[in-house]
Amino acid sequence: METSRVKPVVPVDARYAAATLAKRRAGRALFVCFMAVLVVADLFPLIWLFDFSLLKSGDFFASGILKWPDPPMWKNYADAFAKAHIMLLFANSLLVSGVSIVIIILASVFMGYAFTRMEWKWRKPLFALIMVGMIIPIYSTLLPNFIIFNQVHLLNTYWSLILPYAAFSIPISMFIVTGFMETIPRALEEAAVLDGLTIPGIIFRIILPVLRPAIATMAVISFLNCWNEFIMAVTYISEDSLRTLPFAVVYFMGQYTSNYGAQFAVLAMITIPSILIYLLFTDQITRGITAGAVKG
Amino acid sequence: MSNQWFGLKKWAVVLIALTVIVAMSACGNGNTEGSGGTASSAPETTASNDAGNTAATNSDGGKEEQEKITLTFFTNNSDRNTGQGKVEQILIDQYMKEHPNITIKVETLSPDPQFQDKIKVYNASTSLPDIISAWGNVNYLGPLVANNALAELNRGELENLGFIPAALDSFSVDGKLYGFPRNSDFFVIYYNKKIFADNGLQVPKTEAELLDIFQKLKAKNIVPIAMDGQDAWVSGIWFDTMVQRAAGTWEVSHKAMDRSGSFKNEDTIMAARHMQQWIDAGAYGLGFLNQDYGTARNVFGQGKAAMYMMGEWEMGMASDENFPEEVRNNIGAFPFPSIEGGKGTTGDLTAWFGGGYAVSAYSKHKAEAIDFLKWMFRPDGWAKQVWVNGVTFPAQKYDQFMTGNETNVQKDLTQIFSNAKSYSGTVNQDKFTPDTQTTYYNSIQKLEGKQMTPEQFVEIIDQAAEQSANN
Repeated sequence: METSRVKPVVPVDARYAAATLAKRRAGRALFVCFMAVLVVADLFPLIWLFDFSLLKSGDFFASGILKWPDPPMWKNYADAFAKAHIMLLFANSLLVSGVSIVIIILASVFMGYAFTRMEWKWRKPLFALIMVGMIIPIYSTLLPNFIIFNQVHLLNTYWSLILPYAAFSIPISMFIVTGFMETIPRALEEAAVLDGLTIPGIIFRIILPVLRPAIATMAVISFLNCWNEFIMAVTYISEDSLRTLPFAVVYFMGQYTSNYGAQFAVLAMITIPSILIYLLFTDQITRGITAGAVKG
Repeated sequence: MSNQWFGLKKWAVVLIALTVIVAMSACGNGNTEGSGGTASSAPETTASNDAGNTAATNSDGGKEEQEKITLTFFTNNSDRNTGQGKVEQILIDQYMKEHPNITIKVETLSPDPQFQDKIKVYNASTSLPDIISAWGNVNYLGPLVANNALAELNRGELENLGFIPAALDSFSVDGKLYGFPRNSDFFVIYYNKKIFADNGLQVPKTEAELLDIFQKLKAKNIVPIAMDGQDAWVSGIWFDTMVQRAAGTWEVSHKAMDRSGSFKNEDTIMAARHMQQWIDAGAYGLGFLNQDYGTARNVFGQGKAAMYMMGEWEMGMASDENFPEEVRNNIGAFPFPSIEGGKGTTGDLTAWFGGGYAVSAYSKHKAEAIDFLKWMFRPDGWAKQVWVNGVTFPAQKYDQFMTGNETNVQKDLTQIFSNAKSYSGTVNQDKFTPDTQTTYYNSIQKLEGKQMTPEQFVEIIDQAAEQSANN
């Protein structure tokens, strides 16, 4: 028994070291494989989208998941440009999303400041009321909004989109911004007050710069919401010249048939700005979201 | 403190002013373009158009006396470059050219459920566009008529337009006419002549022959029938057809819907049982309930399925350049075969009248809107255009436009349509109310998925029919 206990000591150690190394390597390989699978799973829809945007309409669905475009139908993109007035829709989308984002950010920052830093009577119930906005389904607001917009002549204006877009994004933005503000040490503001700054001064000189990651997060989330929104755009806008980008897909639908190729080309083009924005701001987004998680 | 608050106010005012100015200038374009009508006091959406219109008159200056009129035209054909949308646009452009005082503004929205949702919004806010796409069924017309939203049309004035009388009936509620029907729709089985020839198959006249074809095709790994199982309406039409084939009359379904009869009878159960029998025999291949319209169409169009169960409107496949020429040149159509033990024949056609147009009762230019539709449906208009372009079967007489250059499938379809001894009229699913229609669709898909026996199926849809009759 004893010998058996003593004897293997040295070899076991060596073997152990080798084993752990092998294990580590295996673990690493496994990790790399796992991540590779994730990357492929994430990228596949995009590859699929661009692949499909180059197919003939008749090639869709019947055969495998991916089909090599032969020949690639660049005409789909030409059709998308020519028949759906992509540039006009693009400009409309940009304008509507842009103005909405400015409103959302200004409103959220000011309101967020008032809710986290100021003491007033209805603070808590009002904050709860704004948060309730997050659970209101868009569909239930379509008809009432349509009737109101109709009466105040906002139908078929950019405002009929900007106002509801802002309204629907403000609760989630408030949620992010208040979470973030809680992490800003009050000492910062106290020092500022001692140095003679007014409240707007504090907001613009102290809070806004510190809030940058949260603002980036809000901007990106709002952008994605507004950029892809379809049902409100369809309901409140009937004028071709005011339609936004997601509507472009509809121009290729007949009663029974659809020009799938052109639709996918449109979708691919709509996606590009979203991907770009996301890539550019991905750091800020994660920072903005996690910032509120751990209280300083 | 007061100084601070004062400061806040000043800041706030400046900021708000800035936001407003920025936003206003950014959106100014849209305001002037889209709703110059802010000044107008009329509540209708058409107000904006009228405002834009007076401006146009002023700048135009040419023809003074005639009043400038803008009609809004809301259609479910969004694609203006092919099919029915193209024909609509051709006719609209021509009309505007011949009538310089009339501008027709087109708004489009697809697919149909989305279109109908927006119609509901328009209806609820009493702001329907002047002319809208319409369907001649209870489901769609009912709520609009109940709300007095549609203008009644004078049937006598439409007499010399060559409409098939049954088509006008389907757009009537309580004897009053509310729409111009645009297509005659009917249900057939398309087939790929080359696949049939390669496998030594003949066009089936009976169910036994058809089941035999399924077996032969399955052995060769060819999907027998491409089927859009996801949109239950196709199966609904199939069910209507099968009930007729069992009973030998369309009355069973019609009576079950108006409650002078019932779905709970031998014929309906037999129809349901035969539907399951086809599916068991592999008619549609695996997973057909997950195939949507486009998939089914492409499976057939690429020559991967031998047959395709669909309405006459798919005759355009024969000229659709997205499909291989070999398939395009070999498309034919045949009527539904009879079924074993049933009394119906191949001469009984499931035919109804699909889309059309209606005029809003709120329209300020009702007379002009109706005039335009009458012009659009003059025999040389819609009927000729859709037939010559191979788009669809009009709901009007079209014999005079036969050129002899029709595609094979057009000829097959014409023969099926004109040889038919009886026509079904409105499809039953369209007589259900929106709620019970959902029940009907779900049950039919459960029947197809073998989650429901034929007996359970007729029980449930009979309840649904009862409910919609009581509504």
